[in-house]
Amino acid sequence: MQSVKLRTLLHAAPPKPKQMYKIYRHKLSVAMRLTTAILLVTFMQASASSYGQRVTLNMEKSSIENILKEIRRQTGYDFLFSNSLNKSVGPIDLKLNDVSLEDALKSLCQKANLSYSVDGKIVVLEARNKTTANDPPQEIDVKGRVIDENGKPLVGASIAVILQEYSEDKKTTDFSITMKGKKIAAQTDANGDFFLKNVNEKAILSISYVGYETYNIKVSANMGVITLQPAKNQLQEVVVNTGYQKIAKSLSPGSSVNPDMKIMTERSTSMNVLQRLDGLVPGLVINNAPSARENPFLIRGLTTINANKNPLVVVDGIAMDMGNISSVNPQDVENITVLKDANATAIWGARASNGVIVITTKKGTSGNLKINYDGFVNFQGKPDFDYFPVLNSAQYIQASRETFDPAYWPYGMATTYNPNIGVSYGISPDRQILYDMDRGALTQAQGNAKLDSLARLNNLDQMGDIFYRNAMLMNHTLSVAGGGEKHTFYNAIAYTNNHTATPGAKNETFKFNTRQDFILSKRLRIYAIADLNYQTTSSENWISPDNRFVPYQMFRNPAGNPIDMSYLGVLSEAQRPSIENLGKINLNYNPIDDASTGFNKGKNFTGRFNSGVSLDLVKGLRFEGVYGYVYGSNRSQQYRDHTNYNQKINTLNFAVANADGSVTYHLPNTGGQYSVNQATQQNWVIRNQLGYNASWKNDKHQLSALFGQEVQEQVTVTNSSSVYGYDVDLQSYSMLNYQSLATTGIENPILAQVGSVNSVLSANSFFGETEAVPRNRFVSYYANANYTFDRKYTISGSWRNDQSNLFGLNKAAQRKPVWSIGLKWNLGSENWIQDMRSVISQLALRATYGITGNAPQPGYATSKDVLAFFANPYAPNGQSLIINTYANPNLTWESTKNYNLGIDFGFLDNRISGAFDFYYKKTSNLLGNLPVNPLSGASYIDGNVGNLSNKGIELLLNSKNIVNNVFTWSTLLTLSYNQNKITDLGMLTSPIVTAINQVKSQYTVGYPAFSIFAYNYAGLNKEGNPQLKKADGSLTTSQANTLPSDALYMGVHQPKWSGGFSNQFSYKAFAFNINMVYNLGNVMFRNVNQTYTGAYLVQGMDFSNGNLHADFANRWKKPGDEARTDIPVFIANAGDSESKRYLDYYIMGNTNVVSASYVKIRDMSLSYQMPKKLIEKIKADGLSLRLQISNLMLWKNNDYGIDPEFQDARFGTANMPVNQKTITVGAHLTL
Amino acid sequence: MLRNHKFITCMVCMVSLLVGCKKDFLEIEPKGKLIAKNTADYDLLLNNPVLVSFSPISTPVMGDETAGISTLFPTLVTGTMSLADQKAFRWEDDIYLPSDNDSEYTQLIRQVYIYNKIINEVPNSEQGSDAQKASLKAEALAGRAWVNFMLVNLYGKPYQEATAATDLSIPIVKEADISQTKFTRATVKEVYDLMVSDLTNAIPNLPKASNRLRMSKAAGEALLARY
Repeated sequence: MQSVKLRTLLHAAPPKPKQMYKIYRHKLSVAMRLTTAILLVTFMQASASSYGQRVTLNMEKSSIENILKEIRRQTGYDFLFSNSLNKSVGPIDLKLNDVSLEDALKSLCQKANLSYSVDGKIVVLEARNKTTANDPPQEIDVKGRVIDENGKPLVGASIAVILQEYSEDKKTTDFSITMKGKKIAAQTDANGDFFLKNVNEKAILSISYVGYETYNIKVSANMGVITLQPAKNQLQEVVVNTGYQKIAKSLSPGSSVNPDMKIMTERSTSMNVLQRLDGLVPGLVINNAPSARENPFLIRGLTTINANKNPLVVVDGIAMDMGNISSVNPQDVENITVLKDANATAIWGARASNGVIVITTKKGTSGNLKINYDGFVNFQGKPDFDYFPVLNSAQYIQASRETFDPAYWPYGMATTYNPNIGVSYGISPDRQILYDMDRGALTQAQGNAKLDSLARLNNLDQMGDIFYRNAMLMNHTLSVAGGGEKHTFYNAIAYTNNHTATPGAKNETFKFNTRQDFILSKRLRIYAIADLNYQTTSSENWISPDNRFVPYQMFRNPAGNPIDMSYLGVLSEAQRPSIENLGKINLNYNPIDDASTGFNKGKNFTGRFNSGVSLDLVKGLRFEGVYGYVYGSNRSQQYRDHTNYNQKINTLNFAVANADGSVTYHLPNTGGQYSVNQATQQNWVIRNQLGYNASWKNDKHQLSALFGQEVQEQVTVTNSSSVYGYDVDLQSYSMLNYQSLATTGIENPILAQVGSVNSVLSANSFFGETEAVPRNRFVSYYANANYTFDRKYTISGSWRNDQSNLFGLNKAAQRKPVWSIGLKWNLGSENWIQDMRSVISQLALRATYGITGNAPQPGYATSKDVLAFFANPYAPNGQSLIINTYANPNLTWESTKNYNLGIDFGFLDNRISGAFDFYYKKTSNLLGNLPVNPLSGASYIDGNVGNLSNKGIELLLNSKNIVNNVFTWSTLLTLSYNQNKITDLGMLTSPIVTAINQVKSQYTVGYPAFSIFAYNYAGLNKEGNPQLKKADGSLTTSQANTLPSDALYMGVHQPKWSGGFSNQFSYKAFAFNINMVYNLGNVMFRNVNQTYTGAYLVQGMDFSNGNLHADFANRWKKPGDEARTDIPVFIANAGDSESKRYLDYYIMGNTNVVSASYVKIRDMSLSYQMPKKLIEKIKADGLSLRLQISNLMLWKNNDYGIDPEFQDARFGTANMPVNQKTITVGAHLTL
Repeated sequence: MLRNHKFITCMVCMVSLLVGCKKDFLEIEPKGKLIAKNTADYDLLLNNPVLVSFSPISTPVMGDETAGISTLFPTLVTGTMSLADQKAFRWEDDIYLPSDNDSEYTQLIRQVYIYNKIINEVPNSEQGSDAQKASLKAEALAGRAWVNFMLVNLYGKPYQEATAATDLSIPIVKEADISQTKFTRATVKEVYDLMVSDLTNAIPNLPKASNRLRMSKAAGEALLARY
């Protein structure tokens, strides 16, 4: 409707009173029309005569005004039209012969290019639209960009072009609207851009994307940046995948987290999917320190002591061994859900007490073929072999002089191999000089000169050049996905090259992953996955030295030849020639030549086969079946040639010198020792479930339920075999008399074995076969129901019963169910909260309670005594049976009561969103040593005894700080706090009755798990020996007569506060992410010098030992020093040292416990989306490049330069740091 | 089409039910482990090295010249003694540490458990002749007598005719059952009587001497001669 303005125009001639008719030439508003009509009616009172409605005209070159006047005269109708019309329409000819008014008007309008409409007795005339539908419409090219509410480009949004035509029949008021166009005229590319050619300029664009409000807008040449808003009723359209079903997060009362997949796929320091979740999931604490090697991943604290400590990992609905997780390519992962509380995990039954991590891999989508390539190279450099604080060469020589005690350890004893008192190490070069000076073989001057020249040498440069190379991790993944209506596929191939820092080592993995989905009919779908992984490794026999080795010992002389280090072996230089002559085997040793005397090879194949069926039966009822099979085969070979130093010693252990000077070798002196180890894993699962989904009254009631049955089996069989005298090329080996070698052994060998008069070969060495994972089977039934009322109130429950051969046969043990119940209240959807909508966009409360379980290890116990084979060489046939476990028919799984309260929130239109959880877990029936009366035959048996509890809070916070078309900044904060307490442990194999027991124990009743106890160190006494301050205040240096209360509780070595802090910035085509992780509140023992006695500093062929800690120079040396130092005195005589003091009072003293808190930048990455113009040439959809720096220590709370991730918190020793400060270059190409 | 679906569903359900419904699906023994059933199992049980290993907590060599060697005395580094050995060398009253859990008693009672198990279970074992079963039972009876002999002399007064009936010694255990909780000390005489009767019952069936780990008729008679 065109609005018209009133413009009155007075007729030039004064109106003749008789002429009741008037021609009004103006534009009129509707209101005015009505008024006019009413006025006209009143004026027309006189002219009540009926006018005929037929027209007869014969006018030539007449103005429209005159024509209208004539028609007016004949019909009595009034006309309204604008002044400009009169001017614009020139003189026209019009001949009409007794036609109706309609026809007359039609003819007139056609001639004059006008359009008319009749309103009562008034006819309105208007100019016909300049551009008619018959005119060809203009076409334009359209371009634009689509982003989401965070400013991130929306990739793959659909653009539809719609043309709308409207036509109406004025007389009958029938109308029709025709819409036509193209549903998917274009899709946005990797940068959110789209481009359309030749679009009708009248068309409308409709931009849509799943989960977002569709956006309609009229086309224009440059549409600019269009921001789509998330669909209002799908604010949290996150889907929780429990592995059995997918539920919308808004309807699930469980506590679960979906970590950010983008950060996960771009991390590059490891190909292990779980490692990449560091800092992204509140409640999941990843601890890489060596003291946590049994439990690197803990969800909500430690829930068991003797059963499996790891969370359950599920891939595509089937449980997977944690050890195999590296076979899942992070690029293939679509979604990860971490389930934390009972409501989420109870469905997994007696293996889910530690939490469940559900991984879903990608599948194809119908539409165009999507090709993705992702590659990265992570440059790791050499490991930090310089990390440890040690003495330099000059200080080392000085320390060696000071600790040299030839009276205690005379030269004769030092140079003679004595198998009874342990291996007698050869003397290091500096000691050799000192002995020579002592016994007169060198003068003082000569000796000092030699020592000085040693003091000037440093082997660190050579160490780095010879034994390490720059390490690098490289991965390429290429995936092709696509499909049609009935079939979609996702195929990916990947290659990973883990070029470790060890020279000559190879580690390559080839992967092929395919998933096919078939829609056979409206009701039936099936899918099949085959994920094949093949890894091959090989390495030689290189050592990995670090700066804890003797500092002046060079590896190559100036000419480039390897330097002899035979003193590191078993014999001293003084004795070596005589043994060599006897045995006719050369016994010199240097690590460079020894490196090529052996190899290790491995081939590991894993195949994961999944298939599933989904059949819709009747309305809402669906049958789903999942069938999975995992096959793994790992074959490793180890070869040590007879030229390998340790092999040579072994050969001499079994060699006898004959009277005539010849040698009889009872172990062959040819070929080498060759061992093969093969592990075969076969796991299968069959699961059938019926699911029911219904909603009625327009989603007022929503119900989903499922019931299922699952059967599974897991077993891994290993066999091993070892032969001597193996020739790698001929594949031949020697026949040995194992019976005599293992029982009586060899008498009078040239070189005796340590601790044994006759040299004896270990009985089980040549063949063994065991079930490394004993065959375990489960038969389970489970059910789950979820009901939501009015989309606001949800109640959910689950139940599962596991029966297994792992449990005792008593019915009570087998039939215990696992169950949970949960409630959720979506406050945000309540009517009364809608007023605060602008502030509170989302609010939901969750409460759950349930029981979860943790199964015992296979073979733990049954109802009768379990016997095991034991090779007893003295028995008839060398065989015997021993009692492995005593009968316990009541053995059952550990059970945990889980309570969880949570709030999901969103403020300021979800600008700030997140979740907060509080949990309390009480675990009972811990597997442990159940005490029994020792007079019955045993002191304890494997049983259920023991309790512990965990409580804590978790926070997940997402914040969109700045979001505009050019620059965005968002933050993610995760936080977990855990407090653990052990309340009962049953009987301990080593009871805690002294302070020493207490310090050695990390599981103590009344304290948290992973506790660190230390001695109350009271400094040194007058003789330089460490003192313990007991609880009663007295001081002692002896290890006897202490009580557990004499040890102090220092804290725990597992972090109390843990989480991540990520910031993501984007500016146009650049994006910058910085992800930090933090671990706070835990303690560790720092590394201090641990050698204070002994005649040797070097320790055989251990290249991580030989030097002393840097502290050593500051130790107590003379009376009075106890005032300035607390480092004990060195007493060479081991017997003296042991009887006078207990060194652990210092080494494990409370003064050496420091905070293990730290904050690290896990990765910092910069990425760039290449502009469209450049990539169009290669017909690509998107290309992004990224540069990343990983593992930068930001802050640590100890003054000693210790990186807590490489520190063994319980014993104060450290590992060589690797993969710190690495640089990655990566690219992602989409075609 | 629908019929096809029904067919598939039925097939799938049947397959899974078949697997899950086998009654003994869960009753499998992990490999490498065994529940004693056959007579031969009990025979191998008699080869258990535990039966011949008995080491007192401390066996220090009592002469100063040998135990006092400074290189051998420590427990660490080059030493070979244990803390209990060092205490014994110093003639301390109590050589045991509060944390010691193992003792001469537990080592010996472990052996009694095995002998009782064999004595009680071997008559019902399978795949063995009566003669074989009798022979094994005899070895176990004789073994039990030998262990009781050691126990009664470690934890009871020496046998003296006059007081044997009232001197207390060790509880007599005849069942291999770790859930037992009631034990009362028997008198020295009762224990000796049990030993004599065990040996007397065993000797007729003991085998000829074969392996030095196994009880034989000659050894049994030698034992009986000591009482």
